[in-house]
Amino acid sequence: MPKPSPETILRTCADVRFRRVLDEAVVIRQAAAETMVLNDVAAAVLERCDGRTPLGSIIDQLQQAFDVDAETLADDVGRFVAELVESGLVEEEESP
Amino acid sequence: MKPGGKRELALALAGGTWVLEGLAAPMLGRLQQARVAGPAGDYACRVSWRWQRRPGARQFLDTPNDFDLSIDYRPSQLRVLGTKFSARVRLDGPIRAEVELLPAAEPLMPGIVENVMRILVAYRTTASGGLLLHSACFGDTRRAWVVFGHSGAGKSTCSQFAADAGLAVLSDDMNVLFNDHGTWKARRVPFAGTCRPTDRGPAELPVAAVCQLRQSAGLRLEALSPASGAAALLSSATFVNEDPWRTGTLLRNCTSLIQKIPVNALYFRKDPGFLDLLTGESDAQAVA
Repeated sequence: MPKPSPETILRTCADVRFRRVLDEAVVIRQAAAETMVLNDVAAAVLERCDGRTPLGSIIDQLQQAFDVDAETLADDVGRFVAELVESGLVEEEESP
Repeated sequence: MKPGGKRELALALAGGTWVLEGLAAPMLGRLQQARVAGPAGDYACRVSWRWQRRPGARQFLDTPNDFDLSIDYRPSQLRVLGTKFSARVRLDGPIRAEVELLPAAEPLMPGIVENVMRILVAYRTTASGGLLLHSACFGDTRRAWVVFGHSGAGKSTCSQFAADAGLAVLSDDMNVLFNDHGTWKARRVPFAGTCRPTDRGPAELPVAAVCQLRQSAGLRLEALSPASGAAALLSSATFVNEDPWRTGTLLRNCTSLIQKIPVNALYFRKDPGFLDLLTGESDAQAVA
C-alpha cells in the first residue's frame, strides 16, 4: 500500500471482529479463521478505523492519548496502518 | 420412520435439558449417563432424528471417514453434513435440530449422536455466556484445573496423570466452562477422548486455572497476557470459533472468562510434576 495521506479514510473489513482487553486487543479475521493480538497503539488505530474519520484526525486523537512526539506518532501510525491493511484487518474507504 | 420409534429421551447436559425425539436408548452410547427421567421443562432444546425419507432429497458428505463433518454457518441456522447424516439446526430461539440418517448410519449411531450433540452443546453454551472448550479438566473436591490445546497437545496424558494422582477427571476432550453468578465453573459433559472420565467427584467445580498446553523439555507455568489468553481460548472453543455469525459472542465470552480466571501457558513434559505446579500456583493465589 502506498503511504496513506492524512485524508485517507479507513474502515475495518467486514469479516473482522475485535475486542479490547486492557492494553491489547484480540482480533478475529473470520474469512481466514485467524486470531491475532494487537498492542495498544495498533488497537487504538483499529478502533478508530470507522469509515468516517480521516487518518489525520486519528493521528490527532492518538497524539492526545499517547505521550509521543507528532513525527514519531505519524510514522508509527503509517506503519501500523500498512500492517493492518496487509493483514486484511482494514481497507481504504472508496471515494464517493 | 424414526430410528427408535416415537419415544423421547431427555438428557441433562450443559445449559439445561435436551429432548431427543426418535432415538432408542442404546443409540445414546455413553450419553446414557446424562439421561434423566421426568419432564424436560419449557426451555428444553429439541433434536428429532429420522431415517432418510426420500433418497437424493438431501446431500451427505462424500469422504471415507465416517465421522468427518462439514458445517454451513448461516445467521440463524446451521446445516451440518456428515457421511451418513445431515442436520438442520435452528438457532433463533431454543435450539431445534432435525437430523436425517442414512440406513447405513445404524451401526454408527452412538458416535453420530455424540458428534451432533457436541455441536449443539457448543452453541447452547455459547448462547448462555460460556464456551465448550477442547480441553481436559480434572479436580479435587473444591476446584478444577482446565488444560487445553490441539489434538496431541497432551490433554489425555495430563488426565491420566491426574487420575493416577487421585483427582477426578471430568473429561479429557471437551468441557463446558460457564459463568455461574460470577463464578466460572467447569461442568462435566459425557464427551471424552481416550482417558476414561472418573465416575466420582462432583458434576461441576469452580475453575482454579486454565492453561494452554505447550510441549516442552522443561516444566513451567507462564502467565499469558489477557488478550493472548482470550485468543488462545478462542482457538480451542470448538465448532463456534469457525462460525462468522457467532465469533463475536464467543470472543465476548472468552474475555469475560479471562477477567476472572488467569490463563497460563503450561510448558509440559510427560511426567506428573505439572500437578504440583498447578496446585501450588492455585494455593498461592488463594492465599494472596
